[in-house]
Amino acid sequence: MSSSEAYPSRMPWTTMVAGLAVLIVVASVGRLLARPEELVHGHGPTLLAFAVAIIAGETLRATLPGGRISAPISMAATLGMAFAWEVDGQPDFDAIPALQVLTVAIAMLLGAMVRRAIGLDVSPRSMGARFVSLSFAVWIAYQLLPLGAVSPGGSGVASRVPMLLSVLTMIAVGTMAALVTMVLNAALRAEQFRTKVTTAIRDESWGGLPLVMAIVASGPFTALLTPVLGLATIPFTLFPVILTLIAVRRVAANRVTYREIISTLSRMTERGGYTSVDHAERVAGLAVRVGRFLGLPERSITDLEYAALLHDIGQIALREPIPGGATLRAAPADQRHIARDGALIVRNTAVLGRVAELIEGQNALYRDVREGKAEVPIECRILKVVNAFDDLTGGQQTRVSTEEALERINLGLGYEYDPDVVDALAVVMGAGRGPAPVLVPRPPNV
Amino acid sequence: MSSAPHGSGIGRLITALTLFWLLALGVSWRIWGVEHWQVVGTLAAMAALGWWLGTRDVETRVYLSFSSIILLAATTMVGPVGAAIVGLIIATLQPERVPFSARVFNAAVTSTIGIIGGTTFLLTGGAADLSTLRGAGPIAMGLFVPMLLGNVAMALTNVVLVALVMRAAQRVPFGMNVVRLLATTAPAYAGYAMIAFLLVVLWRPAAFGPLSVLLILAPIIGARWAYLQYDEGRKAQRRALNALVSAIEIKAPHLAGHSQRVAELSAHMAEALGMRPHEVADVRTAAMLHDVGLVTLPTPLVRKTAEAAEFSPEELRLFESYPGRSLELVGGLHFLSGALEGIARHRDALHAGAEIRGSRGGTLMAHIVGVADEFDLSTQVGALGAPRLPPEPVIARLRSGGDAERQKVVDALVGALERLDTEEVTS
Repeated sequence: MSSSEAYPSRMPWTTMVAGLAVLIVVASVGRLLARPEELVHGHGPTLLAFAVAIIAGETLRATLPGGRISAPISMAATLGMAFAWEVDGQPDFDAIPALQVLTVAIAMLLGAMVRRAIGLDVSPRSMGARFVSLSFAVWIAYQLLPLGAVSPGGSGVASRVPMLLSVLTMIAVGTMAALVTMVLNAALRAEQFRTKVTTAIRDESWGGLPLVMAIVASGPFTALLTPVLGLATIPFTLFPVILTLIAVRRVAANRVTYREIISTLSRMTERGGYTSVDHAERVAGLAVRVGRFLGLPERSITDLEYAALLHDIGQIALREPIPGGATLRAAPADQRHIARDGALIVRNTAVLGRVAELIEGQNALYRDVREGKAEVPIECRILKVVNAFDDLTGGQQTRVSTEEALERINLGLGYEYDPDVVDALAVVMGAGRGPAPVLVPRPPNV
Repeated sequence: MSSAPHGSGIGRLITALTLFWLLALGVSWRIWGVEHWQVVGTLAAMAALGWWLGTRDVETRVYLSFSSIILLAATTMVGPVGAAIVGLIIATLQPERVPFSARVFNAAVTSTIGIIGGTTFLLTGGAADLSTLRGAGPIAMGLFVPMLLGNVAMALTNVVLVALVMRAAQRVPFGMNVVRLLATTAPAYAGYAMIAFLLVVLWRPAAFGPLSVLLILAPIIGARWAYLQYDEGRKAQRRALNALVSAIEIKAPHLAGHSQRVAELSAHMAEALGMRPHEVADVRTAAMLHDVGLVTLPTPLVRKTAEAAEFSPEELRLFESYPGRSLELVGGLHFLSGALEGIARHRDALHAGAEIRGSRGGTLMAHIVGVADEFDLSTQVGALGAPRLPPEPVIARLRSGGDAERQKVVDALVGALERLDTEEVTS
């Protein structure tokens, strides 16, 4: 899948997934060419039906909060194909794994082309992760499942024992496929956005879990229903997945709206002439990059982003704006006042409690942390450094202004500012002495 | 239903329904009896899970109810009487604290719905023995279509009964409620039908038996989690909007509580004017945020409006620019699009004979918010530092010089004030 793209060699996970995907496709083609008489073999309609579902699933995939990608319909359809055996109105579905895997590959590529055609983004990384883990699931299902065990032949409890065992096997294989996809996706994301793999896995499971449950259940649904409903089964067994997907997408859309509200709040001080244009957005963007570099989990990143957007909101009640809106130039008492009013406004929402805490702590001195006098969350320390940096550069991030600002901040190192955060900022800004400057892409804000 | 006053109308309704239920139960028993007691028992046990799995989406009032799925499945698998029993158990197990009479009523409703669904299923060609169905065609004609028809009959019965109760309890017109309830519950019922169908085919034709319920639970639990998250998100949005309001109040301490009061009043007025629920919600939001532009004005000017001070023409002009400033600030929020006209034009609406451009609904909204705002400013805050006035002269002033639209809105204001008064007394 991802084979067509060249990846830098310092991305071992990306290279591995791309390599595996190519290997699987090549091996499958080889297997089919070796014995072409097994090609399709009357499975046309069944393969086509599942392929259509996969194409639809690839097209209708979801972007979860944090920019993670999930294509539950596609995965559920593939698992259904892997588990199906008897299909009413069709010959028994005994297609070899190579044929099924190639069907998946073609359907996934077609799905990606549909997305391109209608102007949606395509993510080769997540496609690769899905394809590799689903290919293994297809192969394992073919080896493990006793054929025909889920057909409604006999009656009574005795006939249900092999049925039950098969269903349990399907659940196990489906769970494995879903988990492997998750872990691969997390590893790929960690590599892409330079976060810790453990953090990425933890983030991945949030919101993904309900989809996993729906995906895992839909496999056995398909295998159990095709003997009586034929290919008409597919829309019905995919329905619970679609239902969950709709809910998860609505959750994601909610996040977008929420971010819009926060953004509007942050613009109030701008419109009133208290802060410079886009100061809050710049501080937020930079704070998120520093936070990611320091390996903060997605939840903290979100709180940090919101706190950064709202850190100046307390200024709206000032009688006269501070020159340039730079809190750095305000008297310490005023700074405290701004932080307190800001926290008060935010706390009134009753849902941004943590964000209010961060806003309140934005002026805390690093010295107090070092001397054990106060617990200052890492998010506050990031906010303080990044805010000072933006006040000093005034948003003009030229090389000279960046270096000057970092120098000024270095003067307060250890007393005002957390040295680790300042180092991280320097690296993110490409001015650090440490590792070579890297451009860390920012995941979509969802 | 619990908070409704139990007038004689309700009493008669409960008696009538209970009698109808007993009659229907007796007739069904004579005709079909009950088979599959084991299935009835399993479904009833599953129904007990219903209270745990149910979740309500406040905004759209979609109720993801596991019990409804079980009840619908019962109508196809255990006949009308079996479904009546399952319905009875579902209603009895609901954990909400409701008075005994309401519980009896709910039980009678749910059980009656079960009988009606089961009867419709059998009368429209539903197969008595589902386990022999094979192939898409026979399953469609012997299970899917009859089940859908039964589902429609159940939904209609439910809506009609609930609307009858609401008419008796709150004097809300019957027809309006039927339409509203149908519109809000139809998607949910369609969803239940899909899942119940999946459950029944797994259980009977595919012969997977009672364990089908466990298999179907997994995606439902997942979907439920996601819908709860969604609901939380909506609540969080609503609360985040409060931050905008508290920003106004920090900027202008004399307006503390004003936005909330205007929102409350406007929503009642919108309801009295027969606006639909989502329109009422838009009016409420518009009223809540009508002053938000104030936060971008200089603090000394905003605070000056609390005193009986002299304003220079420039100051007045600047001050009066606040609705436009509000629009500039929140105009980009797409979920507020329905409320923007009310926010932007509520001051224009007050000028007698003023031409307000915009949609008809938006114009009405601007009138409502403008009148409610002016009323609250004059009676509770004291407009531009003037002393607070009693309601009557303010209402008279709002009436004078207004067109027909204005008179209608002021009538709604008077009605809303009366209703708010009664609500205060009763609570």
